[in-house]
Amino acid sequence: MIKKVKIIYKYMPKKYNEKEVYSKLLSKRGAERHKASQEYAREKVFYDERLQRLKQILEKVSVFTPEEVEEVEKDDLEILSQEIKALQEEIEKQVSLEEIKNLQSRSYKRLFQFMRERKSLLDAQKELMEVRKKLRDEYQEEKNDGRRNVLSELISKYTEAFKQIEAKIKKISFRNPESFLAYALLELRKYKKELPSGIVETDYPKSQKERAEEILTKSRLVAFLGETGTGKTRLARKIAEEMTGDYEFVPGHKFITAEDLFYYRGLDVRKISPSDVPEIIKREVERFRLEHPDLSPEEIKSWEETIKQVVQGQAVSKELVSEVFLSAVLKAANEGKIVIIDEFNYIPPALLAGLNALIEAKPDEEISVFGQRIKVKPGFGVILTGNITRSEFRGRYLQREKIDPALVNRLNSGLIEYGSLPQANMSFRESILSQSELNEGKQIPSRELFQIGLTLLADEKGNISGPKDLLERVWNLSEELSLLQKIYGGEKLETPVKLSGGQDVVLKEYPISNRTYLSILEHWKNDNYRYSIDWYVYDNLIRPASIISPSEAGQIFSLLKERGMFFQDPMWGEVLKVNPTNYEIEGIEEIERSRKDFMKIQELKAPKHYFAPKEVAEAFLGVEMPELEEIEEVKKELEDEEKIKKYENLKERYDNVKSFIENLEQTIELYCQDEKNILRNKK
Amino acid sequence: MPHCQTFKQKIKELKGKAQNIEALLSEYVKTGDKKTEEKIDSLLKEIEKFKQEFKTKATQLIEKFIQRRENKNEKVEIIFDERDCRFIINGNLDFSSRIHLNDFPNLIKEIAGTLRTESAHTINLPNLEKIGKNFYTLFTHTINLPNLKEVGGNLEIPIAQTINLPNLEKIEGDFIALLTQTINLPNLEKIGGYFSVSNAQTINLPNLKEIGRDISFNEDNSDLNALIEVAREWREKGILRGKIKIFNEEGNLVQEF
Repeated sequence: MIKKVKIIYKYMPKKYNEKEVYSKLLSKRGAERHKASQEYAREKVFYDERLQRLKQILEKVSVFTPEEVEEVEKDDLEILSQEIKALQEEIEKQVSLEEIKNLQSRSYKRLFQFMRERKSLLDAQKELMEVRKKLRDEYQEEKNDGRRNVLSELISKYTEAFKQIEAKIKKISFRNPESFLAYALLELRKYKKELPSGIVETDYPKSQKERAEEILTKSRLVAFLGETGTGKTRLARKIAEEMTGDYEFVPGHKFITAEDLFYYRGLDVRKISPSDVPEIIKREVERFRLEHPDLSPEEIKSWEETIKQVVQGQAVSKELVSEVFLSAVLKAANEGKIVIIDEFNYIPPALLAGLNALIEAKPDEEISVFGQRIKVKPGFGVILTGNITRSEFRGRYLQREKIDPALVNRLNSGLIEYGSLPQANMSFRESILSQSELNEGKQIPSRELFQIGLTLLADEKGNISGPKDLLERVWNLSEELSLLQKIYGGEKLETPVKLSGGQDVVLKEYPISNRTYLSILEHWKNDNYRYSIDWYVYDNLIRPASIISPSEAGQIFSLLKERGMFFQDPMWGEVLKVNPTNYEIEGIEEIERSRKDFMKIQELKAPKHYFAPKEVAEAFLGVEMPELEEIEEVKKELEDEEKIKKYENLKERYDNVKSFIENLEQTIELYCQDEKNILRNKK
Repeated sequence: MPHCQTFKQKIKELKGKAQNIEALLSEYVKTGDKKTEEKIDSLLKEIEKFKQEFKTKATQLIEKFIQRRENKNEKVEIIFDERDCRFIINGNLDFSSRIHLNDFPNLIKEIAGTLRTESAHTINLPNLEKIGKNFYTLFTHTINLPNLKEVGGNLEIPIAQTINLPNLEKIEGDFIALLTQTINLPNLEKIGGYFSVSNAQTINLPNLKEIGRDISFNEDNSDLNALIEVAREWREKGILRGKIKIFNEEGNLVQEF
């Protein structure tokens, strides 16, 4: 009987509960990390000295009772040290030092294995990216359609491979606790690094970026549509940077002209003789007419007069020589760069039509744009961003402004909606899947806004400390702000939201962006979580909204309160009232008059909690940490291995001829027909 | 020298032997017996030998057919696909002066290059599934390509009475069907390039999802307005990505939108 060679995983007989010890070791490691980062912080800000000074001031003003001063003295570091000590004692009660060492060394082995595998996968990914970049460049330079098709197929294959590696990294990350923690932490740190740039590449922006790059390579034109504050422009800048390094940027507005976008004629002054003046006037007038065919005869006449005066005035001893200067779009085309046209919905459609020829031109082809000859270099591309949704784009912009149909056609395939970050609407606890749910194929509830919030709150090492319900509160905030963003952006909601009176929530004037979300969390963090998060929601959302639109502030306040996650303290309802007819919020002035008192009511008294890396990682990834499995490799039986090799070899040979055998009759029948046809034809 | 009969005789014998292999293999898993192993090995050798013989003879046969092409100066490669025992022709085939193309080998499933015929009255390629590049045919009366699924380049069929390709799903390049009365492509999903039709009375493209570039009609089309209407609808739905162009008999552009 041949036994299949297998690596058998089984639990080693142990006199203690290894899993329990292991989880304590993990907590200890987490606490140690917190301690290290606290020590670092202390070093940096001369924590001790500040505390001493604070104590002196407190004594002088004697606001606090002696017990309270005592509490301040007990600093975080001390709590942490106690925690570590207690854990150490508990571990030692259960296992010997030798066993702890074994456990740790196995744990590190798993960690290193993950890091090595991840590194090699990332290296492969990097290589794929480089080759794909090369292929994209080649594609843009290629004029032959057939060859372009070949390149296009190759590019798609590389993208596919890239995604496969990404999935593979995720897969190896969920294999054991070490890889799980390391993966979550590394992702968190990556996001942390990206945060200052204003665009964190969570799954959604990343996929939209990929999509845009693909379209830009193939058809040169992409338009991001979405509401204010979703980060379209930042994403556009990032794409341009990654694709061509240097890029051109045009902020769109109603009064933009062809000169701002394409080119302008600068006037230079040189010496001339007065006898040439009539000729120069004639030339300049002619040029002006050609350049402005849409002006009425009256307008032309008045401009002619102006030109005459200018030339005569300047021409006592000088001549005006005009020279062409390229503006952003033509400059980008000429140099093979990307041009970003921000808020393009404000630009007159007739001007945008000037893009058509540029987008259509073959690489290095010379074309004419508004009378200017230009060679379009490979690498040229246009990214439009517009504060407008797709339906608005179709209904409002296209109809009213009569945009050039040729441009619309090109835009069709390049339209990318860029909405709010995906964020599931469910309780925090429900949003974290168990490993078995994950294995059953259940989708992890989306949490990209929440991930950015955690990124902001975590320190460089990925540590988070704050009120015990911090993760839950941040989740609730993400959920609620995402909902408000969707209402503001006119996005489709899974379940329609109404106020208790049955009215729809209508938000149009006060934009709720990711910036609003981040500023709430940032202020909360900067105050060291001293007051309830409700205060920061009030101060960074309700209050500023009440200045722009009191009725929207009223609706937001009512909605948050009614949904039960914010403003549950009766004090809020007592002070802030919403007018039932026009929904305008009232009572803001009262709070503003005595902000300090209101803040004091919102003060959090509970001691701070240090979130173990496990808690942070689970919240961040939306999956419970995989359980530790103790493995032991059983020796392979040599003889069996040899036989298995032989069997596999025979099986492979059989598989190779199997389909031939199965289709034998049909294949031979085809052969016979061919033989008949071909030989007959020969005769 | 025909081999058909010899092959046919061999079939029955081999089929029985192949069934034996499966039983022997499962026995070998249990016992690991040396004799069983040798028996399997000898049976496999016999089948492998026959497969090789078939490959050689079939290749020779296809070679005979290929030699009748007009573009003899171009290199053409015959590739045997082990998985389904069919052949792929890597290169272009030009049969411009043939009146009938009805001896095209059934064993060929793919032409990786271009296929060109001119003035062939009948084109019969019953088992061809893919043409890697262009397919060009002129003045054809009957086109029978029931299994063609994909054309990697342009499909140009000017002056044919009926174009009926029931299984065609993709044309990566242009589709040009001038002076063709009936166009029936019930499974076509993609035309990667231009779509150009003139004098068509019936166009049936129920599954079309993409026309990559412009669509052009001839002014003389008997039901031009209806065609334009359809094209407009395609554009509304995002199927048509380019313009709608109308040409006159001289081939000059008269209208574009």
